[in-house]
Amino acid sequence: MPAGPPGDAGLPDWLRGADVAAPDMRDGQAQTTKAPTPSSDLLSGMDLPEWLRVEPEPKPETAPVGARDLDWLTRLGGVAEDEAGVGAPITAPKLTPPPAPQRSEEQIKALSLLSRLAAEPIPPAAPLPAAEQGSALQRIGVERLLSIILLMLVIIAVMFPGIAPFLATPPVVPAVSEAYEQITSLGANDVVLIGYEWDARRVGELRPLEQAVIGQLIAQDVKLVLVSTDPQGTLLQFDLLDTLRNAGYRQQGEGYLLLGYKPGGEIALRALGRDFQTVLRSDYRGDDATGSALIAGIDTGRPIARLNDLSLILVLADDTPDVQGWMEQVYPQAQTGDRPVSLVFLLPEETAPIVQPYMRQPGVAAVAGQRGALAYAALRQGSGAAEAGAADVATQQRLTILLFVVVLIFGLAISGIDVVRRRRL
Amino acid sequence: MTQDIVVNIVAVLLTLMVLSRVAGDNPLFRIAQYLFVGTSLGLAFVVAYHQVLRPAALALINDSTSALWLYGVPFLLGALLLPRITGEQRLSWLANIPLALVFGVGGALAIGGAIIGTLLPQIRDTARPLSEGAGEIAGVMVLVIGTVLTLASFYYTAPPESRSGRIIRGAATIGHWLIMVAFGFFFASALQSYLSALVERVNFILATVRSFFGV
Repeated sequence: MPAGPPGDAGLPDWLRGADVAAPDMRDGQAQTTKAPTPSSDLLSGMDLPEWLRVEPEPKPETAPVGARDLDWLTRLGGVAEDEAGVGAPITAPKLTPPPAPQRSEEQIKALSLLSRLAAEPIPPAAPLPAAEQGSALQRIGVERLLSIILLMLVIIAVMFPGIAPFLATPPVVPAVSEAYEQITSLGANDVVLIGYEWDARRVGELRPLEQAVIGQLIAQDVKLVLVSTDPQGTLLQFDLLDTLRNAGYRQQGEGYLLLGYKPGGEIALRALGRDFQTVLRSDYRGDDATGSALIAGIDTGRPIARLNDLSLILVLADDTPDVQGWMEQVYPQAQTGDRPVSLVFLLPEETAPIVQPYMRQPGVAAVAGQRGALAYAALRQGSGAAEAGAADVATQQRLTILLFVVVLIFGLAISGIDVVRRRRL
Repeated sequence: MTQDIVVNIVAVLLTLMVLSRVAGDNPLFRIAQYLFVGTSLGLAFVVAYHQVLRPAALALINDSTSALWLYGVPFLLGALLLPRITGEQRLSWLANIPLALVFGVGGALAIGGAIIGTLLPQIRDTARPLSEGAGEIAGVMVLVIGTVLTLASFYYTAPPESRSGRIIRGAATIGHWLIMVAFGFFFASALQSYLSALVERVNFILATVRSFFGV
């Protein structure tokens, strides 16, 4: 590249050699000459009397171009100012265009593709190929097929439980005996608080538990106080009223006390634990139950002033937070004082292992699931018909689990064969 | 008697509609689903009205000044939630007062309850004293080691290249498998629950159908 004039040192390659200082030089005016009045001055072109003329402020002298160490941008700016100052048309300096960037082979191809795509119209959508008709198994789906098979097998197992007599032994659950002993020791002078914290989804497990455990309380004529922090549990409490009336229980406030729904969840449980009288101020009808015969202890001889005056707390809980709430808000209060009160939980199988750490606390027992209900019923030594019914239910339960395992293995085998077949293809 | 028959027929039909899901998603299943949701919400409203709102309003109207504090303040706080219904922003800040109260009290109760009712008993139960029986000693050791290994699987900040980091990583792997075993146990329990529910429903359908035929 040829070397340019000395002032071009700061210029980019494509500006070197350009005559950017030309305006000043071409006019032959020295840089030291005063600049004319700026064109922005509206009165500059008029012939005004002397007293109206405004002397323009003297511009500072600028050094000659050659003496200044300006970069090419400064110099370009200087040209623009000078052009405005002169006001004469000046031909723009002809600059040589920068050299075109060197494009690689790929870039050239991509450019040509872009140009071609931009020029061509959008092609019409090609019709999709027809879906390949799968086998009957694929159309139905293995999961759905297995579910239908399992349902059919369960219906058969429930209809004919006698097909597996070896499964008919009643289940034995050691943990049930603790709860059973506590409940068996209660009598007509005892008052039990029952928390209904379950909903209809768990009716398959908690209804048998309710019938077994609360059935025994009713049989022993134990006085009951019913409370719930669950709207559905409240409804299920009302179902118990018919049973109580049929069992010869006296009216509300005497044989039993239905407190109904207590809003607030943990706050309500806290109130129940700390100040039992607050909970009694409003029963399910809104009446004050603090003066009722049951709470005053007219029949039992034991007035209920606080939580520790109760004989037992029974909670039908369907979920872990229910157990957690009772254990965190009520249990510490129940265990303090001179008369600690035990808690018995009736739970579904699903919840039992999760809340197991709570069940290891002193004064806490649990009966879980259909198995627990059957074991409890077996301890009660009911009639022969009841035992036969329990054996049937036990067989159905075990047979169903067995069938599920068989169907699961069958499904795994089908999936395995399918995977192997696809790999071969 | 007739009422019981009608109730049972409706229950059987709804059960069959839910079970129809086994053949894939269908309108019958959806109708049952929506009915369940709608009924649950309706029930919750009825319970709240009859057992919370109505008794409180009656007490407020009829009773003395003590009822004013007992029921009037909650009513006022409840009324402050109403500006949120319209979605207008001008007064919606009023709802922050009862909400802050509910969350504050609820949070305090939950934390206090969790410490006293859950954390301390669990820690105490994990650190049980060794008794004389060999089986019990082994049980306590397994419990303590299992707890430590499980906790190690949640320890993410150990430097991976250091010796302690390698030890923790090995412990975390065992802890991870212990958690998997626990999850398997929970899943098996859940399965037992759902199969119980299925058996109960099938029994109910069969009993209802048999009752029609006098079997």
